[in-house]
Amino acid sequence: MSELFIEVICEEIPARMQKNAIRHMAEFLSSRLSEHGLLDTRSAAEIKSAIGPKHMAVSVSGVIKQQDDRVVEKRGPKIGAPQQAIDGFCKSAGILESQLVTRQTNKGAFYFAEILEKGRHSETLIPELIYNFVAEFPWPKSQRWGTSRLSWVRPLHYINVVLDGALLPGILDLGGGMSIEFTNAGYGHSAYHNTPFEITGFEQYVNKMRELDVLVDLQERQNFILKNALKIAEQKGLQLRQDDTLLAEVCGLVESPNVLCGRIDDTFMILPDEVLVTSMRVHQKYFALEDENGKIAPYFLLVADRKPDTQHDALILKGNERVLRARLSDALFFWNADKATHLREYRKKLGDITFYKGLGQVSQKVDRMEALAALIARYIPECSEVDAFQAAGLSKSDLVTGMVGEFPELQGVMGSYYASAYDVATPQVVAIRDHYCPQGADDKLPETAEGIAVSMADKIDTLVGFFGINVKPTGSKDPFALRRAALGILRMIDERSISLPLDEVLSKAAHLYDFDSFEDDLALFITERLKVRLRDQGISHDVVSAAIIDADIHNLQIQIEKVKAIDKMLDTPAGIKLLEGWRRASNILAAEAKKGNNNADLTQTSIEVIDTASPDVSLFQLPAETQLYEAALLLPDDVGENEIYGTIQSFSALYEPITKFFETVIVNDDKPEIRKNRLNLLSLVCTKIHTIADLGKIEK
Amino acid sequence: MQIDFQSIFLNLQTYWAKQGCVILQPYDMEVGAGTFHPATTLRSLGPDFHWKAAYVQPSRRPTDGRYGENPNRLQHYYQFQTIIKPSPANSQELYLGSLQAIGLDIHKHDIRFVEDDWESPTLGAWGLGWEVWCDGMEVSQFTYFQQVGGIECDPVPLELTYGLERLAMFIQGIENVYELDWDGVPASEGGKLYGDIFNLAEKEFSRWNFELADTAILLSHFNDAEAECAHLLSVEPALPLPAYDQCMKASHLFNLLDARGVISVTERQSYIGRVRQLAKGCCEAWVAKTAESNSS
Repeated sequence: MSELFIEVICEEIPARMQKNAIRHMAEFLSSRLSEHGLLDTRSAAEIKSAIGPKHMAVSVSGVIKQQDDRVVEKRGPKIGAPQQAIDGFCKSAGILESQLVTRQTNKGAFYFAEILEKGRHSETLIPELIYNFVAEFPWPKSQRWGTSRLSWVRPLHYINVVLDGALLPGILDLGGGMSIEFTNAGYGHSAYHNTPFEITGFEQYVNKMRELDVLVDLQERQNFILKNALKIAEQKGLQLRQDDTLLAEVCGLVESPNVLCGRIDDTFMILPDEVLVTSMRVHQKYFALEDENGKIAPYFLLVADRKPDTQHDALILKGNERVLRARLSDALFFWNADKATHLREYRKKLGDITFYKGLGQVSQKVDRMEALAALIARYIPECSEVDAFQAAGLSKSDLVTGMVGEFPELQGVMGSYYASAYDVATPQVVAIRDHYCPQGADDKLPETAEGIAVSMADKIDTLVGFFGINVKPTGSKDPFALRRAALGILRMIDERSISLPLDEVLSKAAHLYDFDSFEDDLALFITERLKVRLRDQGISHDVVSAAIIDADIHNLQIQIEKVKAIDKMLDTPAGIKLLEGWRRASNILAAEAKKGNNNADLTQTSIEVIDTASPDVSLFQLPAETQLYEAALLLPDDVGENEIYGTIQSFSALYEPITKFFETVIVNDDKPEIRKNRLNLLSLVCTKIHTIADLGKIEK
Repeated sequence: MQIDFQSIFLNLQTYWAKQGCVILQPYDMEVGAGTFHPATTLRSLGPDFHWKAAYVQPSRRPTDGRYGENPNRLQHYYQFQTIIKPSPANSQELYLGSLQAIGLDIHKHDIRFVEDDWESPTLGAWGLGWEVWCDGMEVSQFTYFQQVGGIECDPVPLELTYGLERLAMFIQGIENVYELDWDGVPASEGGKLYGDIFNLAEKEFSRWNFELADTAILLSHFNDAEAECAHLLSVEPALPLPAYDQCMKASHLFNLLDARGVISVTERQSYIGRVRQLAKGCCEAWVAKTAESNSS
């Protein structure tokens, strides 16, 4: 079996791009080899790959040296065509007239040429494939260099191509007079080695690179870094503060990882943990260590790209500690300077920041949020209206502090620290801290009732504002994270069981903006997001569409409970029978409507009463009619606000009289008035059922 | 090896001269970065296929002033700038060689190339590259220019920018910029530290930048520079070099107005857009003019 090995060597690939890049490289090469018929089809190809900052390597097994020969059929002129056409065809196909074959097609008999196409050699195909690989590579951002016409993520220097242990010669033309001749020369860590080694295959390459101080496999580097970081933490009697994003990034920045532990000066340990961690992570890519209580310890871990060496390590650490001191001095300056002023004073400066063009300043947003938070607080059990109002008023002040200017990701958190420095009441401090939560499907909700109120106020104000000036998410574009804002509201309503008249709150928010009302689109947008969320929770799409009333946001908690109850009900035998009965009834009504006997169009899923007249009790002939009628009358006309599960259950009980009705009653009675009365009874039943859901949308 | 501040830029000059660079002197105007020097901005675009230059450029960032009290921040500092067109195949190697030339042993230190794409909205320019870290300290910006003044760079120039004070602080192992040894001469023999030369200037300029600069005058200067630039681009034949001086002037005046806190967030964008228009106009005129003189 031949192994094809390809390595691309370029200048440092941004860490964030490496994982996708190597996945793409492996997929591209294996699929193109397969499309070209260069993969042995008798067994699945084995694909191996490795990526480091400067190296991307993929090997594919089972590569064959030459495509199979194949016969290609070419259709020529019709039988009986002029000789000239036949001669022309033979010439273009490169065969003699005697070699033509005749074949019947559904358009008549034609001449055909059977041309033997020699399988092309991998030596000519692979260079073409590599050209396409480079030319078509989907880097998020790429560049030209020198005079090149092709672009790559950073300048591309070498391409190693090894087939079956030997160099496969070729040239990549970069355009502009630049080109790269294929080689089979590997390079180890550039700080230590500059003579190339001969590559013969993937395993040999990875091992040799390891010998030459490059861990070329991403996973291997990750394991190495994690293992050593944990070891150092243990030696110090501390824990590593987990940070997978940072770990992934650091893995993309080093070839020869060396985890070193430095000290943080005690002077800086008065800074909040969040500040220490963020400052170390964002600027320096250091890991933090914590004690058994989760408090940050005065150490940091850095991952250098140099081999361990006591003398050099000390030098590297000294340099890094110095840089961190400068960074943390800045942070300490902000911390002290920011705390010298009350958040109330910062609030006055919010007039300098535009919330969004057409939506005024952040100061105005805060004014609106106060009013909204107080209103929302009334609907949340055990929520202090005063605390919600005041927390909202202070919630955005930290945006103009030095620390948040430097580290925007600390918004909210810094506000809460600065609030507690001035004896702001604890519920307000916590609400300020939490009000940006939840930031998506997995993020935590605000811890307290007041936090929920302020968070909702913020998100509702944002939604009403952007919809009000017609800035809405389209397709995959949602630059202001409006979907996430809506999801946040829905999660809080659902997970905290908050019974909130959202329509009234949105109206209030609209008035605060001086809009006449909130956009209808917004209500629809919210119920659409609700549907997405319910489907993500595993409720099937038809049940969701049947039970959710579009744009009805008066009480979403009820809608949510209702969907869940109906979903359960439709899984019970009673529910299934009810659905059968409803379908039979609505089919009859639909057929009737089609005949034109009635005005109502019952072929539509929305049910309307077949006749405004209710069934006439005196015209009932059979007990099943009376029983169904009475059972239907017992059902409520709306779902109500309490005991929703019970209400839905009571609807499913209707299955019995319906089933009995269809077993014993024939709708098509000879007497038109009895027939009509029975249709009216079915119409009443369908209307009642429609109170809970539009069963016409159920697919099962 | 202890190396004084002036030896750092002297050694860099010598090193890059050996690599075939024209050694220029700073441009005689206030600019925010070495990139603004016409030797970088305009020469990135034309007329020469080959262009290699290196120079020190004093850079002014009015908003970074700290009245001489912050050990790391200055409103006036030095950049060392190298521009090489077309970018050579061994760009990184040449750069690492320059670190060796100023006493940084790259085998002992942890040198890293960390993604940092460069963009200058005022110049309508962008490129890809890295910030270069030495033991966790950012010591240079390394960029392959792709566009300048909204025009594609062809061939692609390599731009290297060294923050000289930072680099010197790293090499001398000190934490306060004002304590940098400037000349290697002992104080008893009249040797100077960075602070001896610049501390008073930092105090005075911070006061002017933040408190005293007359905003009405700055604003009218900005408008004048803008009008003059447009005028010089509209004459026949256009004069892109003097026009570009006016563009640099406008850019610095904008920075001063910004430091005085009289430009709101929304206005900011529009000012940046106005300077970009000037830069684009100058670059276009420069390309047109130099193409003409090349062909004649």
